[in-house]
Amino acid sequence: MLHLRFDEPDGCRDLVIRRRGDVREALLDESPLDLDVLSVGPGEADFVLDGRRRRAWIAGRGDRRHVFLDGRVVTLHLFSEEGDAAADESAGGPRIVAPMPGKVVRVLVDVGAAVDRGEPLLLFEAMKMETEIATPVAGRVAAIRCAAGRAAGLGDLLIEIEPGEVSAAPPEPENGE
Amino acid sequence: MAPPFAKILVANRGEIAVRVLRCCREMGIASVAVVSEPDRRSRHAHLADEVVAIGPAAAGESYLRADRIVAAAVAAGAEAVHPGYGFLAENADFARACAEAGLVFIGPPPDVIEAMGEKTAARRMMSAAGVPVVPGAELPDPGAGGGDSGGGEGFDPETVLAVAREVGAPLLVKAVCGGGGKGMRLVGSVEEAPDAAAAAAREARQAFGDGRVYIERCLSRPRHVEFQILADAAGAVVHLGERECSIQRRHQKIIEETPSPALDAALREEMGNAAVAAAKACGYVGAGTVEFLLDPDGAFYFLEMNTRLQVEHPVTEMATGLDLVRAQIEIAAGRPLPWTQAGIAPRGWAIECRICAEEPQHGFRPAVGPVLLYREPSGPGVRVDSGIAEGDEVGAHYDPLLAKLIVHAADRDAAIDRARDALREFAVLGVATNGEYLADVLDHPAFRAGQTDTAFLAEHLAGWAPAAGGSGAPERTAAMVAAGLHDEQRAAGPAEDAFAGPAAGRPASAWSRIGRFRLRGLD
Repeated sequence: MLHLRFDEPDGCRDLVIRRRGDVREALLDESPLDLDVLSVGPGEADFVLDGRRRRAWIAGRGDRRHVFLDGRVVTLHLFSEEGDAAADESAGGPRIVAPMPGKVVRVLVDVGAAVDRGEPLLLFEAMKMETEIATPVAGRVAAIRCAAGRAAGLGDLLIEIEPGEVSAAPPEPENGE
Repeated sequence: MAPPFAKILVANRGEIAVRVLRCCREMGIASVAVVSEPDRRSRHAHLADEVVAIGPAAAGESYLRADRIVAAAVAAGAEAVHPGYGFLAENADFARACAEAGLVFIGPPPDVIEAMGEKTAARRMMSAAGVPVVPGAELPDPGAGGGDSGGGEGFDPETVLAVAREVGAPLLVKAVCGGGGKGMRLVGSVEEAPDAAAAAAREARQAFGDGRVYIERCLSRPRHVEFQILADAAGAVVHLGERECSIQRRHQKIIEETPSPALDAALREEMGNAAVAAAKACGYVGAGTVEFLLDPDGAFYFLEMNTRLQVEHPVTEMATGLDLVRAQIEIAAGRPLPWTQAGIAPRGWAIECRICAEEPQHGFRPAVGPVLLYREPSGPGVRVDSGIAEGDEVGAHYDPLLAKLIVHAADRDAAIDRARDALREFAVLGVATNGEYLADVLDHPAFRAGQTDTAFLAEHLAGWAPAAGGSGAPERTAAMVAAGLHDEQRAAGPAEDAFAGPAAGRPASAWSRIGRFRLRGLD
């Protein structure tokens, strides 16, 4: 028997897979699923779920499971008890980090400056392209942890924002140019 | 016929190095690959007869080191160097360095690379040859008073404003030595031109070491249509038809096709003749591409000439049945073109999709990570040009292009169906790719209707998100079950799997697949 607890957007889901002879059964949150397993091989599974045929490619590393289903990739996270600091960052918390390895071209704000949501903080160059990095929250620039011309690795802290209300009409964050 | 060269060094990496190395092998030419430190065990290294390490990961210390590459070619006894695209492919100094070392550079003469690399010089040359160019103007070189590389941003705002007013908004600021959308800025109103010029100049200096920029009118909803040409050393020039490359994001092409849904036979002939005239005007030799902007009203303008093999060359190969890399190598050896224009007859429809390591739902930011699982599609009319393999690590040092899916079918609808289904079979796990996004572009009714202009993605795919992203979607439940079966199988070991057969510890054998076919026959 195998029990996996997935950390899904709407909460934890518990999946149990068990075998009776050659037959595999699955329970999601303790309810049996209508599942007929056709084959399971290294990195692949072929099954019928709720009457729908599924051919999946699967790869796992650490607490992640990547599943390729009919051209779409679903990435699942296994639940872990420790809080998820990395998720806070990728969700655009007040810590502005380098989205990829690259270089800071220019810092566009000063410490203490008030910034609206979506306001550009710095020009970042990666893969030979300049991109503006904007703040996902309104507030005040608490600290600048980078400098123009400096290289930054993936996830390196660049700027810290102290969240707070600055103006009533935050602009929409711009996607590219 | 004897091979035109005994040994060729391929000065590139990724899918294009694989493409060229395969061609060398087919032609009976010994091959040398150059690799950076992280590429030592890459797919292109495996294909070559010899592998030379040329430096660390950073391209500036490896694939852009002309000196090390030329030295490697000489030391290995290569007779010619194929530059692929990107890196040193359009670097005239590299072409010269090859010639000085007694190596044949597989590409046009250095002075042609130089002339076409300077977009403004190319515009002047084409204009003189009677090829229409986009209305535009040059900006005075700000470096004149500002000293060396540090002074490129010193445009006089008034001068820039005056030039911008003359050309008219909307306009594009473009790097004189640019390409691939780098060093380019779209400007909606004339007042924004000075800032855009400074930003473009800065980016251009970073990417190309040359901060000069010029201004061009931005056409409204143009198509990007380019013509493949081949020219031999004796001056014979043919074109191999067009490629429609309008599906672009920030001037980076992602889907290309041939023929273009926008061309009829008369326009094709007119544009093809202009492309041949452009190639003759600059004394072109080898494989090259003449890019045009096609206005909705049918007017077309020379945009630039790319003096290299294009990423999207395979669609032309699929439709014409010709091998462009082989042609490049034979032309470089001084052999004449074996075809006349009348003998080139493209058939059917070909589409290319670029599989890139990037996240479309997060502003297309480049993705990095391990390739944990990699399965290519197959079937009639399906071709994959790939530079990666399972177990590779996709890093941030190079272009995010991982592989190209190219399909060929009898007509456009059939080609779209084929491409879409092949994408559904193209599994890359561990590093995020744009595969799902590409499939959604192909599936869009406007794409199906052939309404492919350069505004397509911004108009139809803005705010795109993966379909299975929402919680509670049947895809997520199916994915959880798949992950559960995968983990359970690994925990139990293959010996207990009724379908994997008795071969404990070994991967699923052919017999387990036969079992699956039987089951499929029952339902």
